[in-house]
Amino acid sequence: MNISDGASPVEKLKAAQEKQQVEKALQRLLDMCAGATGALVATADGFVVARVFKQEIAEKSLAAITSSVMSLAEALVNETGQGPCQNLIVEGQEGHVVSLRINHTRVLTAMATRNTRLGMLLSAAKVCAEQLASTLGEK
Amino acid sequence: MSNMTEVKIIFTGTMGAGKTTAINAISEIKTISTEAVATDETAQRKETTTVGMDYGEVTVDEGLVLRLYGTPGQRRFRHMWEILAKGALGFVILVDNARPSPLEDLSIYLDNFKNHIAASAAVIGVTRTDVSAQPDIDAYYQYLAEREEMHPVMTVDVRRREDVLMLLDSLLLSREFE
Repeated sequence: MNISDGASPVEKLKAAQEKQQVEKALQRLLDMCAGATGALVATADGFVVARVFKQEIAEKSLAAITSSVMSLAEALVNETGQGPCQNLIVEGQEGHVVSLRINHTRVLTAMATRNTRLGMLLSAAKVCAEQLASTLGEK
Repeated sequence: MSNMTEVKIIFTGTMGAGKTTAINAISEIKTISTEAVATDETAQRKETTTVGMDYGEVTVDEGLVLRLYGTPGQRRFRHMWEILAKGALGFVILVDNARPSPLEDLSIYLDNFKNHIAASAAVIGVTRTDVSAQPDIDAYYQYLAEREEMHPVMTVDVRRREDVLMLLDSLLLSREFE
């Protein structure tokens, strides 16, 4: 299921336009951070908007999980009085994953190999999210 | 406090059936929720949908505290279903009777949580019967009988504290009779 499923022609056109804009921004993210292996933008309720990956991934699952963990990370910082949540960093044995909110309805997840500097991935992801926030607006 | 027992209960079921509302109706603590703006068919009925989990607590007897976890409704959030179901001692399945196929909706959760329910207990709460009276409670029992399953079924208004507590009472009772 994609975000455009069951949508009107106008909505489908808008979704296609957004997909193109987001793909460009994600490609810039990958260009900016050499170790980045992929990035995805999901709706806050877990649908794929666009993705750019160097290898095959289960994009629908990743979009749904992105929205879940982002919401849980936000609940965690709010409950502990550390909010608002700026980003979510997960360090795996094989690589890093970072997630951050673009605006009210869109979330970005990016990943990189283990030997990539986490700061590089995070700053590339932040730049990407800021660019997309200004392109897409505060919806 | 030394005699407190804590039990994990899961609220699951159809999107928009009222899982978050039910937990909010009875929780004694400020609930934790993870709502996101809905872009799917949920958006026709409400603006937001649960994407992570809900959490609340209620004391039902002296010494028995229920820890209430609400799941997202949509199947794309199955990963949360699995995470949340671990260690649960009871499942409250809420079904929105105003949707096209409530019994099919119910089967999604009975199938998915089958092993968990077999090891614990379940109760079925049918919501929005004011909008759609069919299928009625008999139809639900008949459907469960065809599946060779026995769970209490009742109509509920999840905004009413006493309705939600009644669901939990019958869930706890059905555990005691095992």
